[in-house]
Amino acid sequence: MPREAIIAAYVRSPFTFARKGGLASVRPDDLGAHVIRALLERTGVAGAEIEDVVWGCAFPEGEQGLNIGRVTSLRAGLPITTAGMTVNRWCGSSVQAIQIAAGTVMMGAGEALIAGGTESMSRVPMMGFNIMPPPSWSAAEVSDFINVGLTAERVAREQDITRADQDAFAFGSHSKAMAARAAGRLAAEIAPIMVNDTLVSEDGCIRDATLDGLATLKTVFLEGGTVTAGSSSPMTDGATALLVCTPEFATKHALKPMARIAGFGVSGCDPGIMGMGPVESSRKAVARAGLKMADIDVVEMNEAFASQAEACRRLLEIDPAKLNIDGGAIALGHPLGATGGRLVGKAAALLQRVGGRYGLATQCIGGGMGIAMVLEAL
Amino acid sequence: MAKSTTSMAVGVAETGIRRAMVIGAGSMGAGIAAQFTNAGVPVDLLDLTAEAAQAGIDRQLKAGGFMSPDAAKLIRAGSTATDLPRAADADWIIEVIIEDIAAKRDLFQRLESWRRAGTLVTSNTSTLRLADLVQGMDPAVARDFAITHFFNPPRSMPLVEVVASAGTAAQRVRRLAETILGKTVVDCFDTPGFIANRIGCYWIALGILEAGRLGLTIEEAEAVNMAFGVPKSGVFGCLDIVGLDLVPTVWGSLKRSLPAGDDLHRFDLTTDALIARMVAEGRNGRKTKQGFSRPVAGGGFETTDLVTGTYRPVQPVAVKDLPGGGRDLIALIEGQGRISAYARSLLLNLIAYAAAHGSEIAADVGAVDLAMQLGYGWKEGPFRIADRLGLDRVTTGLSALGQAVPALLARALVLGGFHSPQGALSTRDLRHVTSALTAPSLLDAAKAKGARLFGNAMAEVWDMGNGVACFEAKSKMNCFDPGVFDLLEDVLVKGPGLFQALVLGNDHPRAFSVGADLGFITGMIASGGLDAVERYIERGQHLFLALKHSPFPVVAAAHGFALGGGCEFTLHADAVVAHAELSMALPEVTVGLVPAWGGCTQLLLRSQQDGAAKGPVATARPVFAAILAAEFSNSAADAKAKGYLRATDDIVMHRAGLLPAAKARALALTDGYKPPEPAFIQVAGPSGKSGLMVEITARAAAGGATDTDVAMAETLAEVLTGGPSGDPMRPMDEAAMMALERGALVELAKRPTTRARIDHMLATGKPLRN
Repeated sequence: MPREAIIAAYVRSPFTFARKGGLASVRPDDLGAHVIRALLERTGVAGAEIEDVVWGCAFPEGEQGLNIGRVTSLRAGLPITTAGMTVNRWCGSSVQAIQIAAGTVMMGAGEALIAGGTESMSRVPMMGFNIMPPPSWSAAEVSDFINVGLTAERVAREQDITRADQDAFAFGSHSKAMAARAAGRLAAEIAPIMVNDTLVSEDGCIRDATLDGLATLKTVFLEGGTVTAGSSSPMTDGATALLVCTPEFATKHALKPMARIAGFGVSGCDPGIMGMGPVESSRKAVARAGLKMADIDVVEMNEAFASQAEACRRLLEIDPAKLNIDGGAIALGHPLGATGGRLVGKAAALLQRVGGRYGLATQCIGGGMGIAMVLEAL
Repeated sequence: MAKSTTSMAVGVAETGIRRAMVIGAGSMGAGIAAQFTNAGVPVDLLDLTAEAAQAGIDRQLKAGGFMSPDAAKLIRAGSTATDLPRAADADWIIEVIIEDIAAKRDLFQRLESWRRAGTLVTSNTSTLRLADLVQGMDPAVARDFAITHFFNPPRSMPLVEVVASAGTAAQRVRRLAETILGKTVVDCFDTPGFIANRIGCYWIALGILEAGRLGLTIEEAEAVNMAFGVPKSGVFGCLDIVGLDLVPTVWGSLKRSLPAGDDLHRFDLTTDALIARMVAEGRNGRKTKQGFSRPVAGGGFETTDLVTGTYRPVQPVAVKDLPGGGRDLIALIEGQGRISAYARSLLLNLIAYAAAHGSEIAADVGAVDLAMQLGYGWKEGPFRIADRLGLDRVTTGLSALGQAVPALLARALVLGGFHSPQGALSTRDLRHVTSALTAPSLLDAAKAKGARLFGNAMAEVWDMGNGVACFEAKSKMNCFDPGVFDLLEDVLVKGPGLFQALVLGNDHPRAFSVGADLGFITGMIASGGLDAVERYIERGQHLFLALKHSPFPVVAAAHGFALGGGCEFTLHADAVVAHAELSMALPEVTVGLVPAWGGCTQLLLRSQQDGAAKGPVATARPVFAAILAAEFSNSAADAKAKGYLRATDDIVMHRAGLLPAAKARALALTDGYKPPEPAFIQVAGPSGKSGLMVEITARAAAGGATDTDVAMAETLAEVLTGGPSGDPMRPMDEAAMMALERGALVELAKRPTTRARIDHMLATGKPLRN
């Protein structure tokens, strides 16, 4: 009988606009170290008890290179005896990192691990400094793999998600995030950070959008298309960290378990419609948890683009009231390698807040993949 | 390739001005402050409130007063109420507040609590006399005061009129205004309106009132003014810019301060009925969007009818349709009819006025001519025009108008002209004199000495002294005619024995070099096919590369337009000394081509050497973007930001200081000079090409690039990544990279889309987006 793996704590940095936001000057390893220190402070767990740091990063080069998981672990002040690794599954990196940490716990290879991720889209550009796809790929193949905006347009076309549908979805995301911030529902998960003598304590991407304003925006990826900057997630800097451990470890440290990891799945699809990835991966993860979609009380689905998020919602028949209750990436931002940690951590926290039993965190992934994790409240 | 660009310009550190203070943040004051920062000098800009000062800075950011956005960071905004103590830190204080003598005197008095003794204070007054400003001051204090009268906008208007009391070191003011602010200084005597506005205000009054009296339309009058060298805006347009509502202030105060005998009283704008009516109707000029002319909805303009005073459609009059075809001024003034009558009155009265007052306002007539050229944009000043008409003809003409011959004109008659090869007529003595203004350039001095080392019909090499030679092209806009290449070949062969260092430079008013001769290339394509194009390109490549690796240092003195091959020429120099106003670009894509005289190669090499690059695609990316964008720099600082200039290249504020600075830089390089080592470039190969194309295909999908753009980008990406066999593990030398450039250019030249772009550019001067 395998052991159980639980989420015992979750914390994240504020999410701010890349290049012009409050975290643009912060190195990604320092940003990651900040959230790890905050996680340990909030839980009272000593660094020496952490087996490994499993760290997601979508573009692990430059300041995010050198195995940023290990670098971040050391920068956070964890003892040299704690290990560190970097996980790369592009946007799905930190959900994958949590899955690796959970698997490690479940097979008895560790009691407590920190999982999460960092992305500074200010300091390491999306797709990296040196884009070098296989030269045998056609221009169309390269574009499908890399120009995710065009895949969002294709999904909109194929799944009949109109401009109005997308704007309405985006408006919902912004409205929910504004309301959540105003009610103080985001503050608990955020670890404020000092940057050049200024305290950055709030998310920087949330905007007071209006439907009329969204409707006036120009499309940015396809001439005559439907996807705008307002219905896309912005380039973002951020980091997330979760404590993944055995129930016994939590009890020993007087930590209230948030959720048990109940199911997981990854899937592949045509890179040109990568936004549809969550459909199959969610079905797999839910089935593996022995559940049906109708059993899920809370869904955190990444909003890379409104078109793909709405298309996946329709196909998975998710009740809008259960989806991204405090807003999603269109409003909050999408620091690629860190986003999965927010989705899982948020779903676990929401289960406690709304009193639900099962939660789902899922994402689409460039290159044509989906990733999903099912949680059960404890 | 954005880089920090706020280094000090050449010679600025040596002036001892480490910080300046400008008081008054209107468009003039903030513009002057911006120009200080363009030279790398920090400034305190004060106004009544710090917010007003900041607003002035913000306006300059929008209006283009700063040569780079970084420069604005050198200004500290402040208020005169609380921040005058900062005057203690200033080495030069410029007052640019309202034109009110009491306010100015009050400010000077308050400044005295903080100003260090010896710190220069200059006023930007346009009407008040220095003697009045310093009246009652301790002579020891007054010695530090002078007038520096700038023209708007201060960045682009080259003139500063200076009035310095006998005790003030006028030479010092001149040096500071030249070295730091890049201005041409004209010394003026201490009289109302100094030189340019004294003559200019008279011209405006004369030009407007005589047009009405003689029954000309505005269009006819403007054609006459343009024929004698006034800018297209014209004389009525000039008052529209100044503002008709300012007539009582400007012309009124000038009239009051001039004696009754002054001819300005004869042409009195302040009592003109039409102007009074227009002001009453709110037709104040550009500021109210309606003056003598007004824009109409849907484009175009209407003009005021001088008889009815109402607007009517423009009735264009071409300069070439004037008597004498607009070129022959003599025929113009000697013709029959009202247009010639106007031309006669305009030119003769203007010359008479300048001659009558020349000795009151300036030391020589050259200063007057230059002030009108630089301050009002005239092609020539009144005394040059007089020489062109012939002084006998002017004298006869004045007599016919019933006017006396001014003494200065009589003296010029004796000497045979206002100007001669010996200089301009002194207003004191019966001789021609040279002044700081008319001093020859380094190149002119070499020419005067006959110091030609060798040359041909298209280019020459001059000895500028101290072992430094100057390569000067003589082709149209200094383009690379084959004759220019012939001489470059000679330079490489003969140079090492004849000089120690070479400056690439010229005194051309507009262009360092506009690169390849496009007409020549199309001619070759049309007649001989592409082999000839390839040979022309290959020859340029060999010569530029050989120049880079020659045994002597090469310094490019870049200014004005440095485009295409002109830009590539500078990329091969050991150093560039650039005039601050520099329009540099590699605009080949606008004619369907790619840079092929080493532009791709040298920019790649610089990008590779730049600390920020992090791999072969990262190296190529900014170069790819810069060449595809074909962006023109709007200053030398901007050229640094765009990667055309190195951070270590020098910037010179004063155009006349460019060749001396380039010579000095070249001399400094001669000591122990070793040519650059052969360079190698790590190329990304075909997979990097695919990576570079990601952005452009995304742009095409979004509607931001045409099929032709994408096809050209693909060719460029192939060059920048080392071609089909490019491999990061096999760095390529410069010659191999240039072979790729050449192949790409020849391949592009075959495309009908490229031919269409070239033909369109030659026909219209504008790029075609096909």
